[in-house]
Amino acid sequence: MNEFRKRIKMRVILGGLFCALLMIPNVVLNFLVERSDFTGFVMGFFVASEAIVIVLMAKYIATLRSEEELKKLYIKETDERGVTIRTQAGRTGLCIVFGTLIIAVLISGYFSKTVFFTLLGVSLFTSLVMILTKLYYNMKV
Amino acid sequence: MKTRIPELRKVRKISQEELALAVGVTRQTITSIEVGKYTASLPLAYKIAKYFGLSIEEIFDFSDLEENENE
Repeated sequence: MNEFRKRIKMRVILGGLFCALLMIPNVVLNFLVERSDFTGFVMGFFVASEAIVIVLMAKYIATLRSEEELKKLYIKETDERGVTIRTQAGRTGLCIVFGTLIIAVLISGYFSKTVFFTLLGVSLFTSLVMILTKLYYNMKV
Repeated sequence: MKTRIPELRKVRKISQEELALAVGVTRQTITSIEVGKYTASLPLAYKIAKYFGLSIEEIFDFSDLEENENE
């Protein structure tokens, strides 16, 4: 349980760092870039992301204070059925996303060169990630 | 896979929640194992067997597996 406690503490620290990092584009948008509807939207997006991370951090901090809650979270996160569901969902989801991307690449080729190359880049990056993770887990397991 | 977990729980008056907490899984996992939707891993089967003081074979029914092997 001590290992898990350390992992949760690390998540809180990383959450704090993430929030601090997100402050940078906020400051840049606020003071250095001319305001428009788009910058307003981007700023709203950053603020919402920070709010989500802060809520998660608060949840983790509350969990760290109670041994019972920590055990509950540990069980929830390490539950083998949950792990199987996440693995299966991730694999299926990735296949669907990749398949959709390939279709989008083919269709976009008829309309826009920029969109075509962007989607092609994303597809290549996705396949590279898929291959690298497969190689990694082949060596690890 | 069929199991004797519901029967053993009933005899010993243990809830799914209590068993789940004792073996370190969620109540939903115990439910799925009981209805045969999910097959427990070897470590989990061992923990459940140990909790009831029985062997794995006394709790889990491997006859389906043996039938498949014979086919």
